[in-house]
Amino acid sequence: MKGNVKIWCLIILALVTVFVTPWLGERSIGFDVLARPFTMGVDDLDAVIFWQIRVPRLLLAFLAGVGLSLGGVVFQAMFRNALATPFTLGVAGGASFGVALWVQLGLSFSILGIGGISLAAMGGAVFSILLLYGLVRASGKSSPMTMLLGGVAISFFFSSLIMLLQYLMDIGDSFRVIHWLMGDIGRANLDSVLQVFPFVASGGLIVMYLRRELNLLSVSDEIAASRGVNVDGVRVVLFFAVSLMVAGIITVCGPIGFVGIMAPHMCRLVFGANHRVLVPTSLIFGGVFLTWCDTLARTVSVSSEIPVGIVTALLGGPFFLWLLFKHGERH
Amino acid sequence: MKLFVNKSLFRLSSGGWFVVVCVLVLFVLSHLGRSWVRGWSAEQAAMYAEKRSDAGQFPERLVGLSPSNVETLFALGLGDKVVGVNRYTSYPAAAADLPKIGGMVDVDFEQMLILKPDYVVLLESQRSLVQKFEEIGIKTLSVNHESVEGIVSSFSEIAKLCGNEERAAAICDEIREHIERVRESVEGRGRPRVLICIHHSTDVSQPEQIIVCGSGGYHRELLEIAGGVNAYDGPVAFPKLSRENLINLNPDIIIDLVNKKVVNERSRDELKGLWNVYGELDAVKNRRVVIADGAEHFLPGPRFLKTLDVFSEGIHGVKVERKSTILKHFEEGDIE
Repeated sequence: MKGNVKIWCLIILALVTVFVTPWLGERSIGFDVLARPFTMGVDDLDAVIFWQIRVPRLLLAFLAGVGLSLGGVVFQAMFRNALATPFTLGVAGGASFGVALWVQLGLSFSILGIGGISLAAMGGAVFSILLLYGLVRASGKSSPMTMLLGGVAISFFFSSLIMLLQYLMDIGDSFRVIHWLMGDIGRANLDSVLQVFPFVASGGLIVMYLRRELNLLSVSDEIAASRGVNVDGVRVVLFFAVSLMVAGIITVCGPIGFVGIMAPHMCRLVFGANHRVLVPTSLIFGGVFLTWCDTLARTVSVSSEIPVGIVTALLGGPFFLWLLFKHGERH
Repeated sequence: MKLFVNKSLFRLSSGGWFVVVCVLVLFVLSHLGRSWVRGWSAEQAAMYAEKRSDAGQFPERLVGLSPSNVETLFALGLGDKVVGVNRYTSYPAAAADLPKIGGMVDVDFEQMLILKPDYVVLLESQRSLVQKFEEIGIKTLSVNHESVEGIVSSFSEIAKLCGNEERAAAICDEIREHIERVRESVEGRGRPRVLICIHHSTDVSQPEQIIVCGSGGYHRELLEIAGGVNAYDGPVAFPKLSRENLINLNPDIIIDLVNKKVVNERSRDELKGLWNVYGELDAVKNRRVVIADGAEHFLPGPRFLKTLDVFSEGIHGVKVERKSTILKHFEEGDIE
């Protein structure tokens, strides 16, 4: 299939996803709900289910998928390593710890309209990066492999801290953290969608703007520098962009694994490794993938919902393996 | 710090400035959008509240979002109004057959809306779910099942909502009176140090992965009413103990709470025998390990007096007879 055709297929898939998934679910809903988005009455169950449950979920899952997938693309290019994602590098761990600490301390404030919990997540993410970067700079060992291993160690460090906090929490907070650690898209509402949106959109915008630099960085720092890229500067900006996205998503949805590592690889196998194409396609594919996972999570079981993280791994794992072993060698 | 300070970083091209401005605009727009959404949600919630507050009418359709709440509703004689229950509900039998709408922290909100409950009764520890319920126009009542007083007052709180306060008052009296009688019966006796084990692995030759009651939950209070003190007095709600921790705590009595399923697989004597491996503990040396089986021992609902009785009998050998009243009938599965 030609590149352009593939891209059009992906766009059509995205449109289908957005327009079809809200109609899927235990209760079948008529198209007439489209006419009353903000005027539903208390007895208008269909409209409440559609506009207050399914649509916010769709939007939140799509946004989270976009952000997590982009985080993976950026880190894989910067570290030139297939395993690099915000999760393996400790950024997600740092953000999660920020949120858990916030819950434990029971604080509540916001700055310039950004909730304290988002700031705590952002703080955790930035702290983990500073820690990693600081260690790398101090030791003078800046090979991608060292950074990756350092990131993995930081990630484990933060997960232990989260476990420690959880051990010390009372039952209520502990429930809240468990719920959120399972990947919590179920409570999505318009407010949470708008809360995540600027984080993902800003991060996405920055990454889209730096696509050329990503291409060069994914080859080597020297080549990037020789082509006029301010390697350190671009790295810092990209780290910041990923922290923004990851912190925004983790605050609301919890750490949803697997999308960040799988979506970029799938796109790389299908669309090639040029970041001019890879960034927008992984962005769309990440959104589509997580939306379908969430739709499955809420429709498969009758009495309750499966955490979305389980579906991402169950659904994505075999598909990814199939792609990898069938087409992987070429790349 | 020289780490990130790179002057050229701040020299942005026009495209770079455009991105920075876009980012700022995005955050401002989202902030404005959120303010509008919040206002709209508040209006919506007020409208729901207005429509549903049919004065003088008691709720007809209830959902219990935790097993202990479901039991409380049934004990209050509201069983026929319960339309949905927590996934882990197993008692009373009539409740176990009702539609399941979720676990302790995961709720199928769509299913919940379809069931059209007038009220959802949940635990205070499930408070993170309340906001979403309010948004979709479902009223909630949170009760505290983490303390004995909380359990007792949950009866009157629910009854006040549902209009059967007389029955609730009778139940509360029954509980308070029984607690008082247990207190009196153990008065003047020593207060042994008791360890309440709520979980350990039973498929191995010795109790491992031992989790005990710490600073959290209602068991600690029950223990004190029954004339004992918690051997663990640290800050953790439900600590996990190693053999060394056990040796340091050296409890006089161990009360091992196990599920019915475990007793079906291994006999009580066998379960008691597992503790013999820890022969250095006074409780084991003096044969003061008590096995108490049944899901009710883990549920802070209407059957918690049974746990209190197990404690007082296990610690002081005191058996305070229960009067044949509402809760007693409920425990025997006799539900009106």
